Amino acid sequence: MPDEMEEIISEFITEAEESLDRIEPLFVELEQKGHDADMLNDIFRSMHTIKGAAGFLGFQSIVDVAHSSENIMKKLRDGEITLSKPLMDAILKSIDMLRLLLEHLREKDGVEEDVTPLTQELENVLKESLSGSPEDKVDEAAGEPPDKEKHETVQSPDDNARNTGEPVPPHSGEAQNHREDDNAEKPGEPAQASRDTSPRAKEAAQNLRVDVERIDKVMDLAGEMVLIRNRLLNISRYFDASYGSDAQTETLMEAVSFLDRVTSDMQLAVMKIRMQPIQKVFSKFPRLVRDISASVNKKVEIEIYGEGTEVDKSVIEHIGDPMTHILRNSIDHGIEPPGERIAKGKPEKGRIVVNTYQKGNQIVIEISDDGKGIDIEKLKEKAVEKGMLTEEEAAKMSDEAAVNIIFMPGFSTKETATELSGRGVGMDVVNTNISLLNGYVEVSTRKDKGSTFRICIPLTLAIIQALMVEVAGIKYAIPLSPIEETLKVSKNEIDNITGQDVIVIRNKVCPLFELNEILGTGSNGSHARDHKYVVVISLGEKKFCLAVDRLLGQEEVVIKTLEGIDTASSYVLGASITGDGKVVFILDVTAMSRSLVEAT
Amino acid sequence: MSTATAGQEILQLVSFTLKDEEYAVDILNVQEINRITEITQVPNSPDYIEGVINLRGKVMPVINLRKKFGIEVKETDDTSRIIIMDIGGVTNGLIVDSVSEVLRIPADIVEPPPQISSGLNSRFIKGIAKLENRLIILIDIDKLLGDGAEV
Repeated sequence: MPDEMEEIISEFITEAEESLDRIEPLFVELEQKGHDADMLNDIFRSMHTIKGAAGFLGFQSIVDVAHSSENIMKKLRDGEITLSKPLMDAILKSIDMLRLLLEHLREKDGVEEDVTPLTQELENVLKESLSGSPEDKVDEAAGEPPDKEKHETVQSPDDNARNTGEPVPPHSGEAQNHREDDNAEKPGEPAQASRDTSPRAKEAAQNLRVDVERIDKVMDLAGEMVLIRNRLLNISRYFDASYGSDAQTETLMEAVSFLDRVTSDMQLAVMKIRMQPIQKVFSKFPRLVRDISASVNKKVEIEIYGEGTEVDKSVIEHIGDPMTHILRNSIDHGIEPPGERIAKGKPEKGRIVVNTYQKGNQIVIEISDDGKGIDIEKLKEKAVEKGMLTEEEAAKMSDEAAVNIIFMPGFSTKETATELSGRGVGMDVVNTNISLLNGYVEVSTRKDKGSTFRICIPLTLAIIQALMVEVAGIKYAIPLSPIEETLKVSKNEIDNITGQDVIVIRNKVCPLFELNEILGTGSNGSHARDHKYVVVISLGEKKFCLAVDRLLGQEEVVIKTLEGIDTASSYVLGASITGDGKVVFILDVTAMSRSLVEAT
Repeated sequence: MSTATAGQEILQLVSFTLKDEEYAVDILNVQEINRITEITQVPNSPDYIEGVINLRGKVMPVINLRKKFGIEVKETDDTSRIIIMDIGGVTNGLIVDSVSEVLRIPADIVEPPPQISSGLNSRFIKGIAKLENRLIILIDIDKLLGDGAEV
């Protein structure tokens, strides 16, 4: 029995948190758009659901907070009061409080928050708004009774799926069903436009909450399957070569190739289980932008597109922080204060656009602002001042390369550190977190037009396509996505400019590095050969070549994480096990590019 | 786990050899003991990290204990073993010359490391167990990694 109760409570916490995640951006949108009955209804209902369930479970403080804010929502919905900033601040505060209360519940830490000051505040702002809008009061007398009846007595039988005893208006199916797994509405568009209209009850039957650990277990097993499949493929090739005439060999080949296909499909299917719409992360942003821009006295609006794009769970977990840093940076450094914007002939309100889409097997997230852009000269100046670059280096540096200075650890152009930025950690964190996801960040900027941060992350993190290479007798895997091409070059095509080997590819000079020198493994035998195989790596604006002894072909590899090894210095992002049971390292070309290309 | 001198306490150890000395680690840290398998070299890693091995689908680092202790290096042979151990939550393999036996000794015959062995290695030593006609060096497995310093 206690177990059952615990399950109900944890279910409640999850659902309540989801509701909060979903309605929080709506508030901010509401603030910008003013009155929107549908949206208000939606928020009102979510609050009401939370209140109902909390009441049922006996969480009085949650009931109190939800009740007070629900009161405000009701009055707003009925048009008795209009939305004002103090009202909005109070409501957002109540959402924060609800989150805190839920957190305490989850942690079972028994901490009690005193919610009376907050409920008091909510009541006060409500009273103020009521007394401050006399014309609305007239509406109240005329409009409330029928409204009340409509919303609190009509209940559609379908909607009992949630089991919360929540009173719902008849068209609830439309508004209620966009939970985390739905393609939610885009801020800036009419809310109902992108809503799915299938009934809520049907959806409940088709979704299943599963413990993440179970999915990860299946994922691991699928990974093992891929390895075994690879081994079987190797063995069957041997049989095909040695006993090709035997009829049984043919049967074996057939079975193995069928297994091959099924394994690939299964892998994909398992991967999809872990995929979630990136909206989960984005839903925090409207609020974040509102709060940050208010704290620096700027006016900024955010537009989010493509939040239905699905990404791996681990991307969801790791992308929030770097994106928050980029947004902060854009608001604090990029967008100008309103006065300056008007003087430049721009709209007073700054605009940040977040756009997400899938491109090949990558997810691209673009964050663009229409601010003042990054001042390249100033960047260089600062970097020289801080001893991160010499003056010559700065002078030689192209604009594209110089923009990347912002990603250097400890770099900041702000004279003084503010609460928001200027400590010189943010952009470094962005780079590190995104490298963890095997992705990379690019920046492009135009003076007074704004800057764009483009984050590219591979779709899945567990299994990647890789090019197998061999150097000094050791096999390595290089992730396929940053590889532009492979070349065979003869020794006399390699030039040496100020100590750096380079080759010319279609009239462009490209630095060349010996892979075994970078890795410090094996002997240095490849210098003697007439020909070299070269892998051309392209990461954003950076391009460099790695010389290897042999190219072995393309393979699908399962990334195994490495414990107990310093992956930063070894340029390794993981290991994989090949068909014959050997360990092969997967090289981290992003880390290589950072230490090699910037050093030259 | 503890070397407390509470009279009745019995330590269970796995003993192994490196060159001419006998060493031991707490049996609770030992997961299994394997023959030498194929080891893949790790790029730019400290000298004592011999590489990584694939243990039934898990990839784990292997430390050459001779190198870690600054003992002259010897090629691995038929008696060489990899002791798979849990060191601070991470599974590692340790290459040793040979594995001898499982020992049960009373905790009170373990003495603190002698002051004279003030060499760099002494910080890995938890104590010395005096048996009838041999000395066994107890290794403090948690100090083996961690600080990352090499000998």
